[in-house]
Amino acid sequence: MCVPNLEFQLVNPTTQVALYAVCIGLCLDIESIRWNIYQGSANSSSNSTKWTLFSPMTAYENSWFFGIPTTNFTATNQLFLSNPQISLWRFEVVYTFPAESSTSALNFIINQAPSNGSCLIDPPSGTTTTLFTVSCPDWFDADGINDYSLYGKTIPGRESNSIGYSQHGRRTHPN
Amino acid sequence: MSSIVVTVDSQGIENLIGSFQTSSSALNRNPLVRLLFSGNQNVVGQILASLAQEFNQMNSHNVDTAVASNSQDISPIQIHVHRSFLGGIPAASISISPLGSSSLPSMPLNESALVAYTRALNSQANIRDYLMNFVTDLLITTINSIKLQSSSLVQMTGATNQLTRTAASLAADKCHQLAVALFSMARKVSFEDVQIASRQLTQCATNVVTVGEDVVSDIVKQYSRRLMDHCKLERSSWI
Repeated sequence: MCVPNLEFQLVNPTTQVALYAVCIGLCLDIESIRWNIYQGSANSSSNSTKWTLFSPMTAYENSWFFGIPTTNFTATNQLFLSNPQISLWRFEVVYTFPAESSTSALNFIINQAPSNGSCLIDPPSGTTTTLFTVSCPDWFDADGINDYSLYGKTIPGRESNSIGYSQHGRRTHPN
Repeated sequence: MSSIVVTVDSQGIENLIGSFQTSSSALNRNPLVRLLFSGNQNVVGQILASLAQEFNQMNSHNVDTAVASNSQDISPIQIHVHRSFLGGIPAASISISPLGSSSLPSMPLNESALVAYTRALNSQANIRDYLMNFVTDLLITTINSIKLQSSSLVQMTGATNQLTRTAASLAADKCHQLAVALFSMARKVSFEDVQIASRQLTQCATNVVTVGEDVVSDIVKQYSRRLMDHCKLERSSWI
């Protein structure tokens, strides 16, 4: 039988979730496989989580979700980015056999972004040989801040280019 | 955050081209070159990207000017750029003929405009050769270094008519190394980062392949293909 894993895993809302299921034991007569998603609300009084089925799943099949009836399931980051109010997620797989069904699941908690900070570039204009200083002070994250990455785009709407990165601290760079 | 206005420091570029044509000691004193010798990933990546963008723009402008000065009586025309590598020294010669005719020039050409174009083309190509060494020397460490270096390489190989065999071969080698490093960490970093980096490496491989089949490393293409397949696999839910 499947063994459910109830541990909460931390996931960034900016990345996709790719899961796979493996059937252990006598698995020759699998009738169907299905993945379900639940959103959670923490019940502070009883210290448990209430899970509600995430209903728009079929509507987003093959745009947000791939492989719903297979062993490999992917949820793109759109699921999280479009639902910032949901921080607890449960992904469940259900194997249906002729006489019974078996299920397993993983729980995720969304990693909260850093907050309460700002970024400043000085000077606001210059040439390609001016040294610009990028300062991003006062950001707070309960998990701590490991490093900073800087991206820029020259044409609005186009993809950003990586400009630089550093460990915790102030970064300076020419142009 | 509001936009930052950055204008081109044309004098700085002219100084760089001037130092390059003067002597190696003049070049080593040039402020941009001194920054490039720092080995700092951010500094080198940014300066090379910025120089590449400016050279790419100068190149487009040069081509437009060469066409314009030769197209008063001829319409439509085609431009043939013949690249040759005599003794390893790149030389470009340009001929212009009416559309549809054979490649032999039969029209009067504006000699001085073409000479100016060829001179600019060659001097910029030589500087690119020199600058390419700075990105190839950079250490490959984290996924961030891969993203930054591959982005610089895409821009530096972007003007393919200025890519000499040397520069293209250096870029192909470096893109190969970046692809190998990316492949080794692809399962440990986010799918989105792998996607960004592999798109840039594919672009790098595409840019250098236009220089000549015998220049590009086939392995770069292979790795790019494997990386793109890896991304497609990720999209169809593979962990």
